[in-house]
Amino acid sequence: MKLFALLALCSVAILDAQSPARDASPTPVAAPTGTGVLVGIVKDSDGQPLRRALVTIDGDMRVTRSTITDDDGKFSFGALPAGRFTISAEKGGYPSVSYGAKRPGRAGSGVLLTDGQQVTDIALTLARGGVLSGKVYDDRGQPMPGVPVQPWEISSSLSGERTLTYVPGNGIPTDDRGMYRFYGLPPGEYTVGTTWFYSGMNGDVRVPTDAEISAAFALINNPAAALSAPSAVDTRSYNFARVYFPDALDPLAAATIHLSAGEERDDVDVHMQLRPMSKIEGTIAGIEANSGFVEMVLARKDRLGALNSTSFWSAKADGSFTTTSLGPGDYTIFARTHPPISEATMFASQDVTIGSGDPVSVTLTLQPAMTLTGKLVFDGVILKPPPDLTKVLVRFSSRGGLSNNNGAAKVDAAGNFSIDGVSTGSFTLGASVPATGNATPDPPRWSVASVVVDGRDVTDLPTEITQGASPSAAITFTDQVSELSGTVLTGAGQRASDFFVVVLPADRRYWSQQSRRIGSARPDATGKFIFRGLPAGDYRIAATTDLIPGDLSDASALTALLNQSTPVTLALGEKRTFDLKIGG
Amino acid sequence: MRSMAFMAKALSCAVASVLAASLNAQGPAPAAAQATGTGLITGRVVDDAGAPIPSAIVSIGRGTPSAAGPGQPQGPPGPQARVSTPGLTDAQGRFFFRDLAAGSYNLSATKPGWLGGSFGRTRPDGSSRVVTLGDGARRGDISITMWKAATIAGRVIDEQSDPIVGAEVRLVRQTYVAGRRQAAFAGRFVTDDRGAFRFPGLAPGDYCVVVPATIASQPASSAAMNSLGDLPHSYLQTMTGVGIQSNIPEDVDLTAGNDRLLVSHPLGTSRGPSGDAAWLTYPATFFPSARTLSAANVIHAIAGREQSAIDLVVPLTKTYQVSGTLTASDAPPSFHAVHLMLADLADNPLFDVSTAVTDGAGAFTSYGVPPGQYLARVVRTPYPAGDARLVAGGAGNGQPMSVFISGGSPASGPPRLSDEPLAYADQPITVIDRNVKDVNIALRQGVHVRGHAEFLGASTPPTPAQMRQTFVTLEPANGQAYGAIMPNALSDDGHFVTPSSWPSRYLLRVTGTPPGWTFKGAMYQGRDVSESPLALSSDIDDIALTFTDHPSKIDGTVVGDDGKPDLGAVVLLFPVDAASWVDYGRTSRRVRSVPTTAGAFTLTNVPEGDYLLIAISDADATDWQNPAILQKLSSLAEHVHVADGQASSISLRTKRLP
Repeated sequence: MKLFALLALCSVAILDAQSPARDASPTPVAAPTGTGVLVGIVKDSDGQPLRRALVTIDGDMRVTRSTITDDDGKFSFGALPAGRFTISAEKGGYPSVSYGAKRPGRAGSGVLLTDGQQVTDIALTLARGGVLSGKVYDDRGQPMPGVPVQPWEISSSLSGERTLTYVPGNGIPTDDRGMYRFYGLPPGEYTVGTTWFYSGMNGDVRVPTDAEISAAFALINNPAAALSAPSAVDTRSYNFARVYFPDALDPLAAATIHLSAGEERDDVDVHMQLRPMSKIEGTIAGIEANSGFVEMVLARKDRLGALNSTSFWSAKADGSFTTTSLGPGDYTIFARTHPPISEATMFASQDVTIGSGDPVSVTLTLQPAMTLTGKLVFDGVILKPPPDLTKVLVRFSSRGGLSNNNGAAKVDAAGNFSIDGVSTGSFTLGASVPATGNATPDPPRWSVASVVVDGRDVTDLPTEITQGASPSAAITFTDQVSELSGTVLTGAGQRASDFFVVVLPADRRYWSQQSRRIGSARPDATGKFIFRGLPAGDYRIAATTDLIPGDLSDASALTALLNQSTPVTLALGEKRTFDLKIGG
Repeated sequence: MRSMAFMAKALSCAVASVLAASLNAQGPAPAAAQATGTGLITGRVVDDAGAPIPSAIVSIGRGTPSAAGPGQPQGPPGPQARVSTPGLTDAQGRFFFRDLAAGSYNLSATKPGWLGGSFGRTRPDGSSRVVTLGDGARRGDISITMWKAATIAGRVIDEQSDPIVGAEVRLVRQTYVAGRRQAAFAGRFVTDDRGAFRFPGLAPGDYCVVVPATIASQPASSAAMNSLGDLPHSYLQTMTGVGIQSNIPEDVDLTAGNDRLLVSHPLGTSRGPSGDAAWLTYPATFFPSARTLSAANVIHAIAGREQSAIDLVVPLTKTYQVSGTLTASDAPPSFHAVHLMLADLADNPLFDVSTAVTDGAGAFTSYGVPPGQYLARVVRTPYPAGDARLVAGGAGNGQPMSVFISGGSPASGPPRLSDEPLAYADQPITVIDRNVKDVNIALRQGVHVRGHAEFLGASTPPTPAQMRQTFVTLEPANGQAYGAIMPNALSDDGHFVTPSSWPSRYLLRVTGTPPGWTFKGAMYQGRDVSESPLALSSDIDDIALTFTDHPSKIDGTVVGDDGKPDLGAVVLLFPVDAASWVDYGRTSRRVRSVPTTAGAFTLTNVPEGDYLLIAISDADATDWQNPAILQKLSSLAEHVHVADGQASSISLRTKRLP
């Protein structure tokens, strides 16, 4: 269900600036029409008709229409052209369902409508979503209003560990009774967590000891007594830590809630905990009077990547710095002189572990940043190298993102490049040739065939840079575009289209977010699929009836696919046909 | 990153007001002030029955007392004002601050679900007092009262009592401002799977609850604009309206006919109209099932109480289209937003019923309009001058965008508007039982007010630099922030011209007067338009701003029934003439309240005239801008005549609101 946005005085409709440029703007052309008809009914899981469910049909020929069901749960669409239509139904509190899908939230097969065909028996069943609700209590056991609570789905990461994935659109503060409620959840494994309660750097509080309070009040009653230090003083600052159901500080230690279809849990209570906060006080050694602005970055490194955060500030002119309100955990502190990407850039980096409440002292020593040099190689069969090599984009990104040197590469006309201001740590290197204005819509295009750093092939892989190194790289482009195509065949040798085909690298080192080596395709009506532009390498290919986009970044889903997969190796630019047999 | 960007937030449908604010640095907290001594303050946080409140956060800051005002609850002091880390109260509600230097301190307490903790307050949004501490002094009698917040809760259901899930519900607070009831946004909630909503943490007062519904549409050609940089200026200049949800291209999946795209969908209904036929949608509905604010039931929220069963019945309703053309004397106004709003929300534009963006020929179509009385409003603010630009920001994750003025620098002063005229139209529209077509809306140009300053006195006239620090602005007489006009400075020789302005009723206000001078009045045709509203309909060229070097002054003391100075009183000043108890804006010199400090008050620069003066307890001052309250107080108040430049003293005894 779409939520209406908060409409403040100054709200404004705008085309989203963050959306990536799209290949084709949706300039509407007159939607094709015909004489086809789709008629059906939406029911709940008890078989009762559901009124006012929103039914949307989406055709592969730019036909999108929607309607709501009548009091008998019925819907109908007329004047439809021939084509494949997906049909989905949604209603508040019910996870949306696509016709032909195995589960809510998954893609469905839809209906293939021939010219003038009338399909009148479409039945969609919406099952009520699950509910997680409960109360948040403070450290005194009192219900706590206003605490932001989030539901998390429990899954496994690409590296195979237990992880939590935020269920989007569901964060909500507890009400005046300390209660929260998440609804419309598909069956699955969940937990619930709070965020820092007094968010921000200025939210810490003192929690005086009884001795301190008694001593202060005694002084009022006894004006003659001198102000003196009480026997027990707690000078630490406190804050409420984020807590996971029921009282875990470590998100990965949160208790698992197995939510079955339509289940309503009202006992998912969370207990907040006041914890002492720490601060880091430090100095930057070797800072010179003319070092100017020193950028500081503090990155929290949680085992749950979603909780990682970074904060930025700058050191004082004398090289001292302080950062407060830090909860227990592992951090990296990073300093870099300005300008950040030059031959003169100095940097320092240190890992810091914060315990409970005591200040941590850190001394950072600035070291010269390094320069990575390299060469672009164009190994083309059809294409000539781009006329202006200075326009080639060389991408350098450090893992952890503390020192992002993107856009820092300077490429000369001969294809030699250098990247200044490189600090120690892990990084990945890539490159792309910008499309020219009149480029043909289809390849051939240049793509990266290999990245070699100091003689090692690190294509699509991270590599380490150590202090004092002067790494040398070669990036080779190819205009060869591989193709892996085929047909999905059932055990009986029939062509099957109601599947997803997934290709993934055999080597788990390549299992990373947005990897160009992981992909999925939907076979067309005749069972044919194609993957273009996969880099050379060893792959596994599998067909599945059931796939959501998140599966491609979920190690357990990928492992399950791997276990039912078939190996296939692609050479550079190879055009390979591979029929995929499924079932017996 | 630290940034010194100079940003100003553009106001609602009219010209911008300048809120120069540097972006918050994300660095660590500024260090607390280190002036320490041997002073000690101990105290308790209690509820209004005197019971202790544990786990409240008590903050201390250097401070001054605050004036009371409706809807102006005070937060804790900011980090800069802090003198110590805030402390948590113990099980007995106790707190202390030690090692304090001599001085005045604000003490405030916060706790989720509770309102109003600030020393001296006798009501949740009342005025606070300071604690004055001598060198090495100890104060042990500090009690901070908090009030349990009110709650309004209910459900949104359709005409068959089925819950409407995922409906946005908005809370609207109704207070008196400048003698008129004003509706202001006070919160939002999206109904859950039971159709339930809940607004906790409310200050006591009068509220309305509404399920707004805004259908927005744009010309299909807008879909080709993928970035803000592609947008015509007119889009941002007119999109400072109220009813728009952020438009994400991925949502633009429907053509609504007439070559237009629907960019915000109604709740739970088909996602677009089909041809010219009536379209069934859930229309904007006020509690309990009203189409207008004036027909809505007012909900009276009481501290610590829950008003439940506030159930809104929203029936699926036939809605229609309003289409036509926006015209101007020159080129067709393309990419202008036409805001269709409920007629009775003209002064309280809480949301649009429909927002349509014109195409290249100025044509628009507003969808989803149920039968009713409306205003089609277009206001195009002038574009900023110089390097300053309008930018949109703040969108994402369902948040709406805001329009800002960006640019300028601290050195060159706040951004200014260009000389481009403001354009406006405000046209009544009635929808009965069919589409309304061929509506012609003509944009008209805004008007200017010009004048000059006169310095009446023997003091040294201001220098040109001082002139440039003196700002003239038009303040809406009804006290609405909506329609405020950006201030313009006096020229070196004391002349001014306001930005091109929307015809309305205004009060001319002056801020930043030159040293030694006090603003006295803005004379136009024998009338002071700084204190009686100017109905602006065409250019006005000859306003005389007068400044004096001997302003009037009333000071005095307030004692309670016990004859001792009243530490919790508020002094109200208002004219004898009851016709003046309305439309006096937000910063009137004739109708105002001042807090008392240690039982003393001062009112400076009161215009010549006959007034009523009264001291009442802070608790009675909640809604003093309601003329009915002033009427009740008038028979108890002292008559005071203020003559030009006269200083007078008066002793008051606190009265009770009858």
